[in-house]
Amino acid sequence: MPAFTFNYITPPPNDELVDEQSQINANLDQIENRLNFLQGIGTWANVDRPKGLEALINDGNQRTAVWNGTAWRTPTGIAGGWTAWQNITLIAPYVASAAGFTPMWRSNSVIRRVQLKGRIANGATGVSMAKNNWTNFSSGASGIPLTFTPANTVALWTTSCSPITASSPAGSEINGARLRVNADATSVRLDFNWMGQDSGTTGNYISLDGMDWWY
Amino acid sequence: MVYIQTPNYKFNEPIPPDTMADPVNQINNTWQKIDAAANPTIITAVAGVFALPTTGYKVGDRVYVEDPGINSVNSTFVCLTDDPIWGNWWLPVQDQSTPWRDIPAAAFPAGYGHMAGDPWQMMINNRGQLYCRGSFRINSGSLPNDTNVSLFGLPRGLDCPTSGSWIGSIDPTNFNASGGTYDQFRAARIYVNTLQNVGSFLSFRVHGATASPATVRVWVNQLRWPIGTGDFTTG
Repeated sequence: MPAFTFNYITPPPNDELVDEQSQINANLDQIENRLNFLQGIGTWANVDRPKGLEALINDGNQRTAVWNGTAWRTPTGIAGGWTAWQNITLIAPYVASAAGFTPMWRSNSVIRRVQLKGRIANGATGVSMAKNNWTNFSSGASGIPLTFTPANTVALWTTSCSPITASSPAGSEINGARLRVNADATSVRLDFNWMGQDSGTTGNYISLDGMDWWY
Repeated sequence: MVYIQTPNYKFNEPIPPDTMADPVNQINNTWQKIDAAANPTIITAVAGVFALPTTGYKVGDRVYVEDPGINSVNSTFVCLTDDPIWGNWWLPVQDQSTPWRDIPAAAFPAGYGHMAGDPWQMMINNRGQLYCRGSFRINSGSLPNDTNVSLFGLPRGLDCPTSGSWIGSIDPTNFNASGGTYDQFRAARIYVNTLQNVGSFLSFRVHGATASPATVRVWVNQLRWPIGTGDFTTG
């Protein structure tokens, strides 16, 4: 399908009722209407493009770009910004709750975000989680570097914790944990605060999944 | 039979007082129309800090922001709201996210506000996701237990597309000092009620033990939603 439906002036015999001027103007209108979104692409020299100009460019895909004065800027992707998952250095007696749930962290330099995953348990099963105060489970020289301290200094979430076996803890108590991240002397400090009854005789874990902050 | 051949038409510049047309003006008008197209609005960092405009724009307006500083910002931003209380909030196009910005203090209901040092802030990324961080507080006394408290309605454009709820962490004032007793789970439910074609309204409710230490603030780190107007029609 052609981009335009131009009127073409044809050789004689001409019809005196054909108004070439209107036809040409109609052509110009078409050009004006349809090239609006392409302005700046065609033959404009770089120097002629105003900063902030937006246009569709074709860099393999059609994408919206903005002219930043020297180049077309396309939307930034975040996929390449993530580091590999790295183990969180746990303070004894806290350990991974089970194989496959090692507490880990990663960061993204594009969006300046840190994510956690994994589960922590209080050493060997059968030991209750500390309940009555903030408990530090990761900090120190081998912890997450201070560079990744939350931008607003502290972040706090409430997360899920579950009995490792379905029967613990028994009863109607609801358990949960708060997680806190802030800065320590040498690294990011991670604390938890167990809420609810003691975690029971067969052990409970605290999930770090979905915990994140911006540094 | 003799045919009379007509000549090709050609354009002749009209000569005054021919009022048929004035091609010179017509052509110049065309050029002037093209010239009159406005250049983009450019927002430049001041003293190394850039801030998106908070007022003066309408929904759908676009500005170009550049900041050669630490953030290396250069991106188009599209205006999402022009709410009288919230002002202008923006969607980034090329950059990954907006700067964090405090929600307006005037949005809080009487008796509530930002926690100093950790204000409730929002950020919007270029995938249309809105994130929260920080906390809000009751200005005096302790947060009411098991009571629903209306916070505010979101400005249109930042709406949460469906109703839902999150857990907000609560923060007793003297927990660290006293050790407190936290024999029961305690947290705040933060609820968003989205009404079709009306808007989204946030409220919270503290759940858990009533004998816990005095609780002043609720953290909102876990709040995030895909923004949308919530306007839709069936059929």
